Amino acid sequence: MSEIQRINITLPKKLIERSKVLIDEGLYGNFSELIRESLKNEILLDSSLIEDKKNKIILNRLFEEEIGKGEDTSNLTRDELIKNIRKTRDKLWEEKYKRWFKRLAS
Amino acid sequence: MVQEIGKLRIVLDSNEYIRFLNEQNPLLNKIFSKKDISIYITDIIVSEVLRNLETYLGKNFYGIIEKNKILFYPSSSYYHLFKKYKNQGFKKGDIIIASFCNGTGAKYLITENRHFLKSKTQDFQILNLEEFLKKFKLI
Repeated sequence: MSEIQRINITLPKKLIERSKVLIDEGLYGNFSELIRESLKNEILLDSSLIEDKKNKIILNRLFEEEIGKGEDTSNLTRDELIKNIRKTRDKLWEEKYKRWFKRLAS
Repeated sequence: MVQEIGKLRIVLDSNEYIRFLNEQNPLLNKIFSKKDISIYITDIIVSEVLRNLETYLGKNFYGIIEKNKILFYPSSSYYHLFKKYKNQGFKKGDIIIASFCNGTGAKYLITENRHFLKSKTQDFQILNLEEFLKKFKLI
């Protein structure tokens, strides 16, 4: 393993909060991993390629997490379906987005 | 972000995908077949679709995204717009979707959801599928 040096860094609070969301999304195991990978990417790779790769990882992870949680809605009318989706949207807000909103929009 | 220069950017709400996959919304093919339209999608829409479809149809949904080159971007990329849409009166998950539409530069949000259809935002137009297809003379 390569030699390791510990450093202290000072970051804006907003950047730290955004980083926590990336860790929540499962892109990085912890903050150190995020910093290491970001620096490697910055040095080695084209940023648009990194973004595409990251987005693909997030999408695949989302499918892994959500697949199998669904219910049959094929027998619902359009209005019943909209009502069902509204319930799902409110549930997702409580599960995930409300926390993000508090962190990121403040 | 991948730049889709010259293409019309739109966001399809979850109800459009669900009805399409449940074989209740074949008109969506009219949009999928247009090469000059870029479709954007984000995490909250993906989760809603998967939670309102049987598992095998959920797997088909991944195929739809791939086949039609639907562009996925996480909603967290547009956090800086959350407050703006809360202040415009959007509620809960609708804030995330409105921020996503604005952040990606989408001109249209296509939805059957009446809450959205009543919104008065100036940043993008909100139409149902039929209105959108008529506007662009696709039906």
